[in-house]
Amino acid sequence: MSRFQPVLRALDDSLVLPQPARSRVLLEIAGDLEAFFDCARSEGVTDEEAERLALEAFHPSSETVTALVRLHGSPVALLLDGLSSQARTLWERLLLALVLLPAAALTLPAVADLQLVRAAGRAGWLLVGVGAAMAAVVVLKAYQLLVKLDHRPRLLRRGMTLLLGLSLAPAPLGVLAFSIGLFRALGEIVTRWPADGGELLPSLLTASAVMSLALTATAAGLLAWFILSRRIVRIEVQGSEALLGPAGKGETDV
Amino acid sequence: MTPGTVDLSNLSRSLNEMLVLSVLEDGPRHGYQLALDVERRSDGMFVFKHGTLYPILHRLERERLIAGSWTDEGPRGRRRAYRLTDRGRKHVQAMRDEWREVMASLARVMEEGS
Repeated sequence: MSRFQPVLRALDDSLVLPQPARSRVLLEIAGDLEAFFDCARSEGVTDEEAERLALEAFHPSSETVTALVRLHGSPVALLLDGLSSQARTLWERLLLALVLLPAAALTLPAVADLQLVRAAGRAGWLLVGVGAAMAAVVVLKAYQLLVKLDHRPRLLRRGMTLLLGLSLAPAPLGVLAFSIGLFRALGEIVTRWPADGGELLPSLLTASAVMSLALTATAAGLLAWFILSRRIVRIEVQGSEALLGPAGKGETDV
Repeated sequence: MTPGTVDLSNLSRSLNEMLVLSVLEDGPRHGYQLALDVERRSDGMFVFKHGTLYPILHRLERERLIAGSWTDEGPRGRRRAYRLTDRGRKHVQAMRDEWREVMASLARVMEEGS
């Protein structure tokens, strides 16, 4: 393990750069740190002093990090880079709220007005809520990966487990609600046959509406999870290729 | 003077560019070696804090004036070396002429002032 690993790890956390640029910058700094260290040691300097001198010479200042973000980062990252980390978090939350709240205000009534949702009753509202939570996670994740281009390794997969959970949750809920609805409908058949068919049908209708909504929510969530996961894998592969080189290509000698 | 490569409104950027490209005229260098060569050739007048070189090198590479490639240093891992491209070679020659004019103009202004 490199003696400069802790410093590089800390730098890794502060570099809001997309792949493969972030891996390239870290690898370049790591290589030069080692070269400077070796040179200092060959001049008789102690290990500790050589390490200190190397870090002093190569550790990028905040101006250098800003310049690198300006070169490689997204315009949004550049806009936010000038702010303190607290201000940045606040602004990002405000911006996302400004996007999400109007979208929710416009979309939710339209969704709630759908025949399917109305037919599903209270269970339908629960599923709409799960769908809204899923949509929020997808928007936040897409913003991080595709707009802000924040590919820091510790943040890459954050939120994906939640998205998978939210995607899978509606299916068993839907099956359960359908089963209960069907049970009630069958109960009606048994106790009141030949009952007025109008009492049997609403139960079956509600049950099937709930099932349909649940499976739709599950399918949409899993699709979003799949697309985002593929994007994350591509980002990780770009990072690996930047560190290890693409398979099959040689390197130029100096 | 034909305006072109020396940006008088951003002299430090043009100066950094000139220093880096001039050293690379002699052959490919790693970033660390590049900074040392600038310092040595200028007798210590121009000293790069090594970390500040990265945005300069990345920008020059983006502008295709230099090209970077990875070299395998064995147990020390990989290092990035930069070389001047043909476009970079033409650019540094044009810059050299412009800088000579800039320095000559500065010398005239200073002389008249003394």
